[in-house]
Amino acid sequence: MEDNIDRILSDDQEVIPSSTFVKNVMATVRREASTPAPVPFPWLRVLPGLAIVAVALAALLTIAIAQLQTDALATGPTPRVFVDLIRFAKGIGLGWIALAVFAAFAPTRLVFATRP
Amino acid sequence: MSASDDQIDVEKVLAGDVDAFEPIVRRWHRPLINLAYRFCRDRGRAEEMAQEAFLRAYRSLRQWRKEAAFSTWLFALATNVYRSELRRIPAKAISIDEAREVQDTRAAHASFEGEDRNRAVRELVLTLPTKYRDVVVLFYFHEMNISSVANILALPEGTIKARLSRAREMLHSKLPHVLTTRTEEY
Repeated sequence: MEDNIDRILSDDQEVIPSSTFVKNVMATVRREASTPAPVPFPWLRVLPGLAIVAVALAALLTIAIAQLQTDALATGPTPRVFVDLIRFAKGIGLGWIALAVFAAFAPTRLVFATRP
Repeated sequence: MSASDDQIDVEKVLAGDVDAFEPIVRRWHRPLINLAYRFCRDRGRAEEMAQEAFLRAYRSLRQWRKEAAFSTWLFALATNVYRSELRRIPAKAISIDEAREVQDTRAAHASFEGEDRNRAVRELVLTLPTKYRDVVVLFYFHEMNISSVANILALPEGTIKARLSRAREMLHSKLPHVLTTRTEEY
């Protein structure tokens, strides 16, 4: 038994394009071609600067932690929890971890930022 | 129209000759408009969607990898454009319930034949879930070629066959009298 669906859907009418279709498409394409491409953000120039800033921040954080620890030990009445926190941060190298996290996620963010 | 014509024109466009895109549009505008029409059943909208497809094709010509035929690449791109457009603004088609009502009424009067019936069936295709609709539209547009549809939708041929079969069942269940009882006419 032949299926009517095949016959009905195969014999669909053909649409005749309007006489101006090709002209309209080419006008749109020419307009697109004449529009200057958007200037991409100069990530390559910015990246070295960002890297320097990140290293400086990590170094600053490390120095600050060391300084805080020294001051806390010297002045005495600093809460015990605070001193422990500073020791812990210094022990695990928090500054360098921050730098590593930045280095790991910055490229991903750059890829998203540069996508059209 | 030959594949090498497409390749020559694409290379000219990529070299900066915008006018070389015109022969591409002339070669492919009828099939692209007709494909769009089968997705929306509206001539004006079909032209708008086809125009958008050509513009996207122009923008992404560099992405055509020449191991696939230009036509396959163009139809795949156009199909994606049409599907996106239809997600944004769905085609105005009769609903399944409306189709059933129409069928019941007209079958009762034995006058639901010819173009009315065919139109109802074609519009009913647009009410199918999109993954079935796309396969049905492309399959009948490409003269029932499973392989072409599989290439355009980037799906295995087995998946296309399964979806087509399921889509046919759905259409049969929507309009059972129309699609099964009059086969002796043909």
